[in-house]
Amino acid sequence: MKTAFLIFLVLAPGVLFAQNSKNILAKIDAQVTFMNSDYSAQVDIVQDKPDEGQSFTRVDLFRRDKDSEYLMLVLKPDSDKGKGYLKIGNNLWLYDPVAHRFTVTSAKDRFQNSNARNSDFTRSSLAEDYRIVRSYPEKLGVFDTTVYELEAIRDDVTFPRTKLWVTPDNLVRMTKDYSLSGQLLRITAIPTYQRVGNRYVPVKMLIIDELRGKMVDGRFEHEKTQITISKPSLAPLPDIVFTRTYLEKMAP
Amino acid sequence: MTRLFLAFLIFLTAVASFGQSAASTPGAGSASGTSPSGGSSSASTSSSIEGLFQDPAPDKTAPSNQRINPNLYNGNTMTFFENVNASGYYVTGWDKYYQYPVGTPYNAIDFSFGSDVRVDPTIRAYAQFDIQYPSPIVNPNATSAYNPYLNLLPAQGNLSFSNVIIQQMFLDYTLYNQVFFRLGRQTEVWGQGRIFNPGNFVNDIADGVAVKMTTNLWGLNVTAIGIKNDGFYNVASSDTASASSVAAAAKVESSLGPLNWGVSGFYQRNLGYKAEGYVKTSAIGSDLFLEGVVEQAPFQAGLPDDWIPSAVSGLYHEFGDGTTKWLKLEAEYFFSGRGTSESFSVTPTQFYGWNDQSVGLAMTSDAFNFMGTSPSFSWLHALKDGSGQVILGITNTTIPHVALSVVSVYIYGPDNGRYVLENPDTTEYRRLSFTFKATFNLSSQFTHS
Repeated sequence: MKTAFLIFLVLAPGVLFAQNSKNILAKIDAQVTFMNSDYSAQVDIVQDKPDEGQSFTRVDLFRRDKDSEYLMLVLKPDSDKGKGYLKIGNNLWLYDPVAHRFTVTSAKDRFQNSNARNSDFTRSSLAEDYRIVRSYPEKLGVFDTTVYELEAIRDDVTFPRTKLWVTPDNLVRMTKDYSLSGQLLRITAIPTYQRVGNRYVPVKMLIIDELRGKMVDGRFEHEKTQITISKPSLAPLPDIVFTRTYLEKMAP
Repeated sequence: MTRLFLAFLIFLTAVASFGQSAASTPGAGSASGTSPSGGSSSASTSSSIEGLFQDPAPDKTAPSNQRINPNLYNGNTMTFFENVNASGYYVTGWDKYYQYPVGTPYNAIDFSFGSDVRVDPTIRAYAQFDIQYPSPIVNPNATSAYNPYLNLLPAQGNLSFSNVIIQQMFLDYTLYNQVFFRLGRQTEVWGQGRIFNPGNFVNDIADGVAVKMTTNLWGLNVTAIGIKNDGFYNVASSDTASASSVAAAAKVESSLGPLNWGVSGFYQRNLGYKAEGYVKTSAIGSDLFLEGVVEQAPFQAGLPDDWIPSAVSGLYHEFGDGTTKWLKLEAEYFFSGRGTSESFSVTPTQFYGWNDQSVGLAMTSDAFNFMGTSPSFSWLHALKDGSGQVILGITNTTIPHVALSVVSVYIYGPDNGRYVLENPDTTEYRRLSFTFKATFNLSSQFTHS
């Protein structure tokens, strides 16, 4: 009996903390997750490489968060038109309209060679992927934020460690993603959101790749990606959108 | 009592360790830009990011009347396109016996054109035609599971323009957003191998006509195809009108946890039965697959009636986590029980045992994209006879509308080895060759909506 009491005393704070951590992350997830409706939007991605100029990609994004499904269809540039990413079950398929083939890819991979990851466009799953190891308040420009330092609890997440700056409305304004060794990999800023129904979608996201860039005029310039999300909608989508058939049909 | 005191101490320690908990608010204050392990990002990055938060636009409500339409082509659009490739190249190298060098000039022109008409979201008509010089030699036996590079060089024995070749001509129809049909001449690739692809049961579809239906049923992706290609299936002229001349193929694919799986089947009266199953997954950043195929020829009195197995496994990995993949690598292992009957247009009757194994490696790189240059490498090797084929190519597209290529092909092994007999140089059968090629390209399209 005493032993059981001891075990309880030792484990209780950890269990309570873990539960609290999960609740906080679940609230952050909930703000940008659409469990009661489909979600679609147009996403423009401008990739800025120092000394190489800009490239532009436009995709249509369709999400059905309740089934963890999503589809991204590339519309521009013309050379990639018709390429598509489809998540079914645990697998992410990449469709090549030229070869008429589907290949399995990873949500961790970079999207269309940009600094964005495929996982940036999917349902937020912080509560399932991370635990909070530390938190503290910090001012971020005009925002009063709480900073959460997170550690992955699964091996298949894109970044093993990450830091979030979260405003009291549970919206993430900035993230910093790190490697396991603590190397800063990239910074994502989301200064402004747009409300869709009772949920939120970023208006713009700026991603700065801490590892990639070039020396320009004696200064290291990082690669940057700006993502603009327009036409967000919660209108229901036909089931066919979340199938491989849809990608074959839409191929140029 | 002592134990209770100890327990209390442990409890206090545990609480303290979680002191910086999610719910805590006291400032533990790490500066923005400091990593969890104490490293810091560059000052310029931090300041440029933090500048975004000094005077951000306020959060807003998205307009409710805007949405993207999943039917991209929801009105009348007509696209006309054309593409012209004019190539001149010179192949030099040593003949089969290394007795003397052989140089051959080639030239080729390929003019393709067509239209893509989408009337509404449910229907689409697409046509692509081709005129080629030299006129291609139609050789269905050249489709081999062992060698994707058989048609590397054009046959030079037919120096004339071809008639108009129908590359694709099909009508798409989508029924109630549930079932997708494609009717006519079309392209389709089945099977998992990128180098060895014995599971591509529909490889004859490109020069036949077909009806394809695809739908999604209870999470299963289902495809059914009927193919008419009398030349490939060696259908007798008296049977061309019969329904039994048509090949039937079906495929079902889905996911189970991290595994993708699929099964497919094929039947044609002259070719017999084929069945395939595969599993595929992504692990450690690589695509991995394993595929098994069995075939059985139609029963013929006096001949063996074996089920013939084949199998291929492979790995595809892209090295480089940045904007540039410095190496894309495909490695495959192939076992075939077909003996020397390598063409898809013949199903052997006898199982030739387990010793016919091959390995293949293919590599490309994006590392030189900034120079408009893309290198590629492939190596095929038959373990049973020691023959093989090595191809190294470099293509440069720096000059607008011009692609310059240098390709080296090396064929090795005994004279009766698989890759010696299947030398892609069908004119001079050079064992070692170097090809210098320039291709001028014009592509254009016009869309009216």
